[in-house]
This record gives sequence, structure tokens and C-alpha cells, in this order.
Amino acid sequence: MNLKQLKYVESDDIEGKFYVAGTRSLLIPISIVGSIYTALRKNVGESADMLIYRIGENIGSEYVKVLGRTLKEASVELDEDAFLEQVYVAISVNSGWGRIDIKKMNLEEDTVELELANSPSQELISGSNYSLERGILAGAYQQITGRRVYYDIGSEVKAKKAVMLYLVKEIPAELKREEKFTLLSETKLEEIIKEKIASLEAAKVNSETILQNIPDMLIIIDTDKKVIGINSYAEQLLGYKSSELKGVPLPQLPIFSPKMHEKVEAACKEVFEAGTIRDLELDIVNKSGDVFTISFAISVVKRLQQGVSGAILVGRDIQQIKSRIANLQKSHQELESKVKELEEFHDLAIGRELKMVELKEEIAKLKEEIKRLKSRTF
Amino acid sequence: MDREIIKISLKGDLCPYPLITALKKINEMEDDLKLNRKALRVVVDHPYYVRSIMREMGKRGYQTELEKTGINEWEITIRREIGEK
Repeated sequence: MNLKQLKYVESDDIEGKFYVAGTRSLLIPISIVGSIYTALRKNVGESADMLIYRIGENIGSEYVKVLGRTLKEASVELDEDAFLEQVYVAISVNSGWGRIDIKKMNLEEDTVELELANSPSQELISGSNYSLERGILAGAYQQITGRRVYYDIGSEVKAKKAVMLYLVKEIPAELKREEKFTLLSETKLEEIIKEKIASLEAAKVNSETILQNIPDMLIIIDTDKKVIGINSYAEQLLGYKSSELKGVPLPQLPIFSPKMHEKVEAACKEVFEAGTIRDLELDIVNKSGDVFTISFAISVVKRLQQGVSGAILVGRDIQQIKSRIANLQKSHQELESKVKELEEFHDLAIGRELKMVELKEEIAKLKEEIKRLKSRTF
Repeated sequence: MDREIIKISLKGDLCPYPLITALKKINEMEDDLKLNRKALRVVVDHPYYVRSIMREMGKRGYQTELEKTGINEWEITIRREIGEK
């Protein structure tokens, strides 16, 4: 086998496969990591470190899986600390890292201290902060122990041109934040955006359907009090198309008589100050000249990050309500009358029943009397 | 009692294969090692492999003897403790 040593990876020129420490795997040559780092720094600046760290975690995790399979195939079992040590040495010394010394290791307490020298990324990528190496070690640690930890940089060991790395249990907030975006491919991002747009469109259609079919009059205005639109019920009630009223300031709408203008103007001012108005009764004139009173509830409309964008007027025909109340009262009276009739009938029925009981008692007495008289005769 | 010594060279092997190969060989020879009929001798070329193989064999109850046989060459002889079955 003709193996060519690269950083992190060996390529088999004959079979065209990649090997890491003699194990088939898919790791990334350091030149590619360098290119990714440069591109990330241009796009996300300081966050590049955390993104590279996350890539490292995935590499470390995958590498442990490969070695785990190799151990299984050989029917060899290693305990966690021996396995981790083998992994650390394998992914460092044999994969192009200069040297890695395990200074302290206690997996039960998650304490590990490593001395790392001549790391490829630090040599080849200026200011890499050992992000890739630290990520690989942390990914391997998590795959073996099931616990996620963070490898931080400790002090530099200048005499040995090395750096100390140590585990911390607390995962930095910036690493957690970057996770959402890390390793998402452009295709995946496009899919997410498409899904979000589709759900927004569905929500918009739902909202419009509800607004158009609600049995209340709706008028929407912007912050300049100009009408943005009205719903179908309002068109039906007022006799105007939405397009006829759009852009007209609310107080100047033809549906308000001149004496109402001042009241509407005051209501607009109040709603933008207070946020809501309830039970505002306004006289309306429809296109046919019919006059009726509408009870309005007005609320401001707020949009996230944009503040107040306008107001919505929800109106209900008072005459209609009054007519419904009158109908309800009439029904109530009818019900009361029926109840009274029923009570009378009940009393009557009870009286009759009592009379029957009385008569039965009387008959029984008479029977006794006859019986007594008969016995005296004989 | 003279034991037969099985010698394998792990020189040139990369981590973790020296340890894996040594452990695999031990598993294969388990019965002979228990009966003290055979011993295993591995040749390695890195101090780290010496340390990890000796430590793992110790954990598994084997006795090890180390001999430096070259500038970068070590031989580790692995056998059961005398009297141990």
C-alpha cells in the first residue's frame, strides 16, 4: 500500500481511499480546513472559531465511531480511559499533530489536562486558537463518555512550544448559539426558508379568510388614519367597495355625517394614545342613505420590532343588537307565561289528585259503616 | 518449565493497532498462556506503545518484562504469573 502522509489524513493512491491512522475514515485535510476558516472569518468574523470547533467535534465523534468498530472487529474491549487515551494519541501523533501528552485524566470527574505541541491548524492557520484540535478532542470525549464538555486553552508552555488544554463542563454560550447555524448547508437553509414562507402564506390566507367572513364590520387604518381596507361584511353594510374607501382619512369617510367628524377625529387621537377604545357609538350613513348606529371597538395594531402600524375598528350594528335584545325579551316573556300556565295546571292536577284520595277514604269509611250495620242486623 | 515464546513485530504499526493487535493475540493464546505453555513477545518502536501495552496487560492480570533492544526498539514479554491458572 502506497501511503502518502498528509495532515490528519493519509490517502491510498492505489485504492483511492482515505485513511486516518490506518483506519478508513473521512477526515478533512488541513488545507481544506484553512480554506473553510478563511471563508468563515470573512462572513461571520469572530464566530469562525466556534464554527470550526463544532466541525472538530463532529470529526472527533466520527473518528471514535470508526475506532469503536475496529475494536469490535478485533473482539478487543477497552475501558473508557484506555479507549480515550488511544483515540487522543491516534488522532494526534499519527494524524499529523506534533505531540500530545496526557498530563491528567479522570473521566469520573471530567478532568483532563493535555499538553499539545505543533498542532497543524496553529502552524498553518494564523490565530486559529487550536479551535479544530480542541473540537476534535471534545467530540471524541463526548462520543466515548456520553458527556459533552468544552476544551479550553490554558497557559502556553513556551519552553516546549506547547499549549495546555483542559476540560470545562460549562459549554460557552457562543458555542451553543452557533450550533443553530453550524453545519447547515445552503440547501438545508433554503428548505427552512421555504417552509417558513409557506407557513406564513398559510397563516396570511387563514387570517384573511377569518377577517373577510367575520360577521362584524372591520375597518383597518394606518397611523395617518387613512383606510387600508375593509372586510366583505363592511362592504355589504355600507354599500361601498373597499377600493372606494382606501386611502381616505377615517374622519373624512362619506359614511360619517359632518357632525360625526369631530367625534371620529377625537377617537383616532385617543386610540393611538391609549391603545384601545370600547363601545364607541357612531352614526353611519350607507351609500343608499340609510342611517344606523354602530358600536365600535378600536385597537391599535402592533408589529414586532416596528411598533404601532395602525388601528383596527370592529363595528357592530346597534339596531341589530337592539332588535335581538327585543326578540330575546319577547321570548323571555312568552316563556314566563308558559311557565305560569304550567304551574296552574300543576296545581289543578295536584288538587284533583288530593280530591281523589279524599273520596277513596270516604268510600272506605262508608264500606266499614255498611259492614258494621250488616253485622248488627244479623 | 520452558515455555514456547511466540514473537510478533508491531514495528511500523500506528496507534491504536499495536495495542489492538497485542490484545487480539493474547485472546487467541488465552488457554496456552493460562497453562504456562506459551508466552507472547511483542516488538514495538515507540515508547508510548510500550507504556500502553504494559498497562493494559497489567489490568488484565498478565506479567510483563521489558527489554530495550535498539535505539527505537523494545521487546515486551507477556505471560501469566507463575502458579496462576
